Amino acid sequence: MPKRRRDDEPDLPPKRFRNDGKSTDRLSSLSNELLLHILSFLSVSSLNVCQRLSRRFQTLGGDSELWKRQYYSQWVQPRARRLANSRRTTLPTKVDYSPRVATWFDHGHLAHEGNWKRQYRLRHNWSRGLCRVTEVEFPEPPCPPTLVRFCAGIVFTVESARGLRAWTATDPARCLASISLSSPDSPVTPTALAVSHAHGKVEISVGMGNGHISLFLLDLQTSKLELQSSYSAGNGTITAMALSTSYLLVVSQYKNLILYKLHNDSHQAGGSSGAAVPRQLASLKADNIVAPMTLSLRVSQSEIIATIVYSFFHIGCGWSLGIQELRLGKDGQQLGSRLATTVDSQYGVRPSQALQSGKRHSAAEPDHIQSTPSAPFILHQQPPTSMSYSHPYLLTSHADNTLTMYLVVSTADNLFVQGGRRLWGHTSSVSAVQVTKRGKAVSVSSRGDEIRIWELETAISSLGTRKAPKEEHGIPLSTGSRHEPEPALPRTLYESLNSTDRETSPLSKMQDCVGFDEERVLLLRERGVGTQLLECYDFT
Amino acid sequence: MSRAMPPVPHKDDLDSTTWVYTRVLDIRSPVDQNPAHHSNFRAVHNFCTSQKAVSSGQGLQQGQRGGVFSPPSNHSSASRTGLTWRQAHLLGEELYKLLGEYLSRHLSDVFDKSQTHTEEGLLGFYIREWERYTTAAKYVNHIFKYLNRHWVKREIDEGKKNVYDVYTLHLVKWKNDFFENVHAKVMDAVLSLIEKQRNGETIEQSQIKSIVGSFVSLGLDENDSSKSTLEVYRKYFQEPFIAATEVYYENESRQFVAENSVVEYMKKAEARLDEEKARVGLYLHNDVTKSLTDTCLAVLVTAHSTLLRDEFQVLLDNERQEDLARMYRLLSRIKDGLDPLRTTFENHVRRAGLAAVEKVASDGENFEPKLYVDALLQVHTRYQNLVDDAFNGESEFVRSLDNACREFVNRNRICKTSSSKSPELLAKYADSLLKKGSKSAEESELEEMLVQIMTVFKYIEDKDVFQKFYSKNLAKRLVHVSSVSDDAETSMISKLKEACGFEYTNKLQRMFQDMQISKDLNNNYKDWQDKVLDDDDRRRMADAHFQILGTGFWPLNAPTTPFLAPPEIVKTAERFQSFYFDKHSGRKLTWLWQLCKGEIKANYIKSAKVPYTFQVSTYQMGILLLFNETDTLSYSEIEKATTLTSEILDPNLSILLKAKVLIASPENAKPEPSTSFTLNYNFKNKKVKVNLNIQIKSEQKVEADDTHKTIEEDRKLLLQSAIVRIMKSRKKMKHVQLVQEVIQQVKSRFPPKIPDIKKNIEALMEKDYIERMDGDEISYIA
Amino acid sequence: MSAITLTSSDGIEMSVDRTTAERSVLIKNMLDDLGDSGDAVPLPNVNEAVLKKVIEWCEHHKNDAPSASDDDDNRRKTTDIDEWDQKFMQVDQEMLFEIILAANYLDIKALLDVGCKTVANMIKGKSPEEIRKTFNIQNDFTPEEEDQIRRENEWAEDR
Repeated sequence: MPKRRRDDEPDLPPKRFRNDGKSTDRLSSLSNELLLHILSFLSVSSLNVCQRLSRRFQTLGGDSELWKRQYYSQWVQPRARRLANSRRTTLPTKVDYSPRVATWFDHGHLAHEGNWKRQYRLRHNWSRGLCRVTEVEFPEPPCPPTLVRFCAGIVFTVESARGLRAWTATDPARCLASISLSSPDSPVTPTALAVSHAHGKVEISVGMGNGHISLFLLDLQTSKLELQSSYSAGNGTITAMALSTSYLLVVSQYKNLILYKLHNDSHQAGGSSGAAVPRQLASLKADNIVAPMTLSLRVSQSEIIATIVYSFFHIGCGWSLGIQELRLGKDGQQLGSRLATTVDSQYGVRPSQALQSGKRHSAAEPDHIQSTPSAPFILHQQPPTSMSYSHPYLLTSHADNTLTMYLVVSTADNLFVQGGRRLWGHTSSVSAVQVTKRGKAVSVSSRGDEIRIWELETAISSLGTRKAPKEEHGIPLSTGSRHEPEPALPRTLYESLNSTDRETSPLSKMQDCVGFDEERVLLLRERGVGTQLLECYDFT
Repeated sequence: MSRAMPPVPHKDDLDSTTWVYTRVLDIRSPVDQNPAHHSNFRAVHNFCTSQKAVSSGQGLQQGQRGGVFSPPSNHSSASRTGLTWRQAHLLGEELYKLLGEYLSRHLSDVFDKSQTHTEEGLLGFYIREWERYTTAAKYVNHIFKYLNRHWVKREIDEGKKNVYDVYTLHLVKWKNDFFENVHAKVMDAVLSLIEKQRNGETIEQSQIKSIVGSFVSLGLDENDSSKSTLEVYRKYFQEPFIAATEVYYENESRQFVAENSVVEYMKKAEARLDEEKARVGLYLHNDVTKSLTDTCLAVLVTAHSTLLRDEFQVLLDNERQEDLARMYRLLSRIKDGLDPLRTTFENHVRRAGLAAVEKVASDGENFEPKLYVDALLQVHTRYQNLVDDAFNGESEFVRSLDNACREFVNRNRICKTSSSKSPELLAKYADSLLKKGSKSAEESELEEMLVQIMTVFKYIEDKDVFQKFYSKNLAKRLVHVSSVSDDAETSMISKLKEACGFEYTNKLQRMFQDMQISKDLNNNYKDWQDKVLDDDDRRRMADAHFQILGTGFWPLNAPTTPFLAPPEIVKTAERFQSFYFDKHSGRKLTWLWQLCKGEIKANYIKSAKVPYTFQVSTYQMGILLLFNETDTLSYSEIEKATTLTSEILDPNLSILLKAKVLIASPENAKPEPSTSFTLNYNFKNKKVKVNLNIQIKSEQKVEADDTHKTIEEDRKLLLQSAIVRIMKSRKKMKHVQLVQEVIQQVKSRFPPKIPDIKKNIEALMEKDYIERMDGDEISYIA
Repeated sequence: MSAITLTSSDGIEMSVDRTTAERSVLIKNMLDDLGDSGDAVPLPNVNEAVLKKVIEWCEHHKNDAPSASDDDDNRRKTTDIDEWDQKFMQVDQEMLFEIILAANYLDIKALLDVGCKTVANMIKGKSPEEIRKTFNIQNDFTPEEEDQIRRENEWAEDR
């Protein structure tokens, strides 16, 4: 850079002082900082227009700092302000814009984002349900039942014939890696799949119909998929699993709940040999757990929180959810176990009361109902079709075209369920739902062939105020048709699954067909006999 | 002032005009001598905005001055999303870099020069350079304001580390390029200066203050450079300073203790602590206060605490209040510093108390209760004052004092025979104060003494014993109308009530009420008499006053002897009785003859101009009135006429004989069946009123013994009622727990003995109030 | 109230109330640092006409409260300009940009904002071609590039 200036004439001030009539581009002669300042007064659409002016404006109009500010005022500030208003006394939330993302309300995870325009656009597309759809037919049609998980941009599928396979979400046609589940002469049926991402590696655990659990490791750099260990839980079909960095929670057909520690922390050494056998930390016998149910595992500095959410029938308010939380130390000693139900929420009891009555009565007792004479405002006559729990969000989908959302509050002293709200929007029975811990949810309606995405964060902040909640409508996906031809309408997922899954409620398995992350939603569909499609909804 | 300029760096890198302007500012020379300053303000702006009018897109080539765009290939993520994404670029980085380099060169220059200075010279140098540098930094910051506003701000917004506004850059450079190299030497100089001051020399404190200021300024918050932290100061100043302080005082105190007395050392230590506290205010940062104080205390006090404590007893023995106070102040500032002293103090007070009692007891059995109480009070007062004055009234010492007092009040030589001796003596002392005829006339003085009684009372464990004796005495004072004043009585009762609650004084208050009711009753009775009596009755009527005392409230017993009242009063008594039953049918009246008294006139003594009046008890009256009929009576005649038992009759006759109202025959014979008694017509006395109603010695003794006996009985009842009460509410309870609970409930009255409790539990089991269950459990029988 | 003298780039001296002049942070700092020697303060980046205009603005706003925070977000929310300022900014483009440059150089934040808002208002609601015309911006894209950029930026419309 220095060299080129040497040739330049050293005279200042520059030309702009001698100006000559109409043809002068005075705007472009301003220095970048001034142009950025001008652009900072423009709206998103004007910024986009400006980018089309010239190369220089293309750069300036796409400036990340400008978009960071736009992102803040569009997505962060309204919520922060609402929160600040609703609990003005308790929480001094910073509402004014600060360039330091770490100080933004609830958006600290974006602190290292470099391209804010992209981020803005992603968020924008989610909020409008705008996405590109790509549809890939698996090269070698998997043999159902197929389980799908989506993690770190990788799609994982598992079925008995082809074993475990990994695909990139951006290019689902290409199989990244695959590994067979067992020797071909003794076929096994995978019944549960869980993945967890840490340090450039993805851990995969596959539970089988014969009670075996296999652990795999995918190195994201080398795309190498390896079997870590295989182990028999020996207690019948594995029905559900949850995996979180080096801990695995498993429920088997016989209602056995087992927590494993997968390997010692030096898993580089132990991992390659494949000899490391999961160590059983805790085991519980559960009865009266009715499917569907879901597991969740949270690992903090000091403890592991294993949660099982199950449904049960309550005389007063129909199908309700029970949440049991097991708190364990890192080496497996049990620190405590507690229980909460959604019954109070379904009656619309305020959380504080719910807390007290929870202490007084072990379960819902008659006088409990007397204290809340009105009928429950959430009443389900049928069990939920699926549920998803990602702390603190708990979502269930129902055959009556709705979803129900709860917020689980888990503190050192208490476990209780807050809120309780129906989510409307689907026009037919909802068959599957998935939620992330950031409150983004995707629900699938099988008959109506409809996918809806939900932002639950906003729903929460209005929970606190207890005003009559204005109903949150999920956004139906509208696909940008210009990228791809309109996908052919597939047959309903409900039917296809119904024929394949024998052991558990067919609806509960729907969950294993949806997956999503910050950028994409993935859906596994079956079209015709033996043809499986992977649909990718890309929001970028 | 102007010195050789450092060569301009990379002259060809930057537009020469711009850099020349900026470098003109030699940060080592005062600004106002710099004629080019005005133009400096413009130079940075011009540099940053230096961008040839962009005439066309073709101009955006590599050759374009200022590098407006960074090449798109730097941003791989752009290609990933398909969006062409570039970051707008602002000018300023080169200028910023050059400024940094310039500062580094300047500072390495300064460092070279600093090498020639040592000690105070170095401090002077550092401070001079620092002040110059920071002054210049302020100016330079203004000149580079444009850079701060745009380029620097943007870098920080983007989250870049190690970019600071220009002023902060100066500080960062100073810290990294100069401070890091000299801080150890500078601190050495500072510390030796402080040591000089500690040794008594006068130093230039402002130097240290400036150094502290500089160190504090250099602490920058990593996350927000506009905020400062004390990190640098703490690490480079505070730590070595504290370490040096520790060493200094370790040496000094060790030496001082070896050469001086403990008392002297305490003075020294206290002075040093004050001195260091003042030092913080003079030239250190407030932040150091805690660690400096902690260090000094550790070295000056904690390290020598054993030595100090060993001196405590000596100081107590010699009553060196001022030194005790100093020791308290020192040791109170270290953790657990006072605990050992408290035990010593407690033992000391107890010994003092026991010794005082010993002295009283050494004069034999018969001492005035006042002497005993005074002895107790004296010890208490002396150490109460010590606690207040020397120990700041600290609650733990108050507790030690209380413990000691409780010990010597309840367990001393006088109490050796019986622990209830103390309350008995205290009650007697109270009686002596409240009875008519005691010497203390002043009301305020009396009140003060009552307060003192309460002081001792607080420590008494057998509070029930005190209650017994006190109510006995009160009853007597009321019945005999011998209270010094009603106000004093109520004052005392309210004090007791305050200390022990309503229940404790309930009976005492009821006794007062009875007195009032009796007064009204007598008035009513007089009115009634006026209406009912005829003249004959009136003539033969004795002028009587009656007191109706509720059986339950008064600690009085029915007479131990039968008594045939003389007809003169029987009539009056019967009339009153009929009046009373008229008003309150169904009540029972028992005449307490032993407490009645009266006056009789001796009209038979001719020598007296005015007839003598004898103040007599009813028994004496009964005896004397017999002599209205005859002058001489034999013992058996008297016994028969009065029906008094000899235990009562004999002493009363003795009194009459002794007073020479009667004369015995044979002469000087004791009252016994063979003796006969003649009225003494030649009775003489100085007073017209002669009091014959004297308490009989043996009666007193018996009374005291009786009281003690009833106490045992009452305690048994109290324990049993407590047990029943507890069991009734709990239904089921472990034996051990029950015992504990009983102790809790009863201990405000007296300290119960566990075997007694057990005995009473057994007794209640026999009475089927409670029963024993499996496993040491006891259950209530409804 | 003391007056100071400012010298424009073309050598014209102007006497201004010090409070007025100190709306400019640059001038304020200069005076603070150098002391008010009574000498004229040279402003070699601003010519007479622009300086007059700037002083006019400063006069009118000299009693404004200093803006509370350096980076006030509400400021950006709206491109509303108060009436007096709107009139003040009714100048030809050359003067408008000169004012912006001067305000930037002199560090008069509020004036810079008014200027930039005025320009932003000129951009708002226009098509790229209209904007290019307004400011004489040369389109340096190839048609293919232009088309691609148009498609990339189509996603966001104002609501």
